[in-house]
Amino acid sequence: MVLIMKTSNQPLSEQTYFILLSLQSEPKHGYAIAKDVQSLSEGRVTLSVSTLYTTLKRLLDDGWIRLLDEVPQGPGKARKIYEITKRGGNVLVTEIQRLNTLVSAARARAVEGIA
Amino acid sequence: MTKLLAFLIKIYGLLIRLFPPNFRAEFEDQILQDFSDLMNDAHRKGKYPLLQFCVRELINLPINLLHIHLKESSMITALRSQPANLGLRGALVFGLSLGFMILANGVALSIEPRVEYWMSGWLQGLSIRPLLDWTGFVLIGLIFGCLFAVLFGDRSQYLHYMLVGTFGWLLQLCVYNYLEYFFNFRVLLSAQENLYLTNLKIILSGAMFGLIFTLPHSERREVLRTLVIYVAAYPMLTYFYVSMIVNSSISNTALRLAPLAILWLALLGGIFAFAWKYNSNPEMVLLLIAGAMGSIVLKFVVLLVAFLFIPPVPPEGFLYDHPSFWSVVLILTAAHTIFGVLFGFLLGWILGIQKENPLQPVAA
Repeated sequence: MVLIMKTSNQPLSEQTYFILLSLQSEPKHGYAIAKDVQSLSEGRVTLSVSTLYTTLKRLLDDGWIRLLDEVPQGPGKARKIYEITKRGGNVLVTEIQRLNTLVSAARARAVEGIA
Repeated sequence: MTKLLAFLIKIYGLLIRLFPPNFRAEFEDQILQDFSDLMNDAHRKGKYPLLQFCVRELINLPINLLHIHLKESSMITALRSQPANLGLRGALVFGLSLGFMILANGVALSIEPRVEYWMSGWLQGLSIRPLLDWTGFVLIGLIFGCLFAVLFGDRSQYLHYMLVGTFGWLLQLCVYNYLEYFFNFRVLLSAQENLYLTNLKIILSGAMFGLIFTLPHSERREVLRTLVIYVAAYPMLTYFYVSMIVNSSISNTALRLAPLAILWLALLGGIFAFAWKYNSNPEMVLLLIAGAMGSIVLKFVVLLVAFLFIPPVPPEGFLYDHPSFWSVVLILTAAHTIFGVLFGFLLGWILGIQKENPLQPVAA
């Protein structure tokens, strides 16, 4: 009998990768994350609101991000600020290393178009 | 344009109520605020980016809904655990049951002539069509009752919900089909009069559906007994009353629709009186009116669209051996499912508002 076990979080989905990357620089609220992800990915990844919060929920449950603060935004409104945790930071670094290895391998073979 | 944006935010606000309660409690305000801000950003960029934004949200929402529900628990458990999410449950109850009813009706129509033919020697000319029809109606009523109980009911009172659903279904079906079955009104009345009568029946049946939603929540135990009396009394009274009209001289005059309209008013009044007796909550009236009006408006719109796809109706109707029979059945099934989902959502939504603002129940 073969047991297949998931031992790694890699590869990350693009949404997760860019959300973690966005929070790596500084804590942000949902709207700022959505804008930053669009800018980081040069417009290639646009998060819908439902995708953003479904992903944030998963990251919170997994302990990769945490709620830092709630900032009041007018009467009865507050924005929740999220920050990346140490665990989330480790996952991001591991993913970047994995991507680096992939790109390095391509460079080693001098694939046309790769500097 | 600002009105459109406000409307879209309102619609999105309703849609995110489909998320599980825990998720909503944590993110609902944030989601709405970000949706509004991002939509305004898209709007500032122009019409095309706004359209792109709306389409993206529309496509992603059901996927994320499914994802979250599957993650939190099974879909059915999630539905049953959400007292405020009656709109979705109502939509499922009606969408599934009405679609199933039309499909089952199509199957029955295609089988009945063969069964009748096989049994013709044994029956010696007796028609079993009414028996087969009514057996089908009762079975569909039972299925509706089961769906109603599973999707809409409290776990401790499944049987109560199931019986109310079944008898409530039969109540609207009895009156709806009675006039055609026993008096063949399609032939007796002119096309215009038939159209009036059909519309009145749709309104009546909508109010009766509103009654089904109202009754199980009543604290009174004799609700079910009274419902059974109504199921028996309504067709009987209708039969004797209409017999009287048909046998009188008025049936040959232009005034023949007037006594039928009086009958309709009496039946509708009876439904309001019944609901009021066991659930004297003023918002219950709103539910019945929404059922009555929603039924006719939504059915009109959905069937109007459906008839764009249905080929011209032959004079004898689409008999089971007509080449377009099954495509017509499938189009009508889809149309009634859509009607059921919209209608059920309307009733469930109103009931949800009622439950969020409960008044004191009538003492047992």
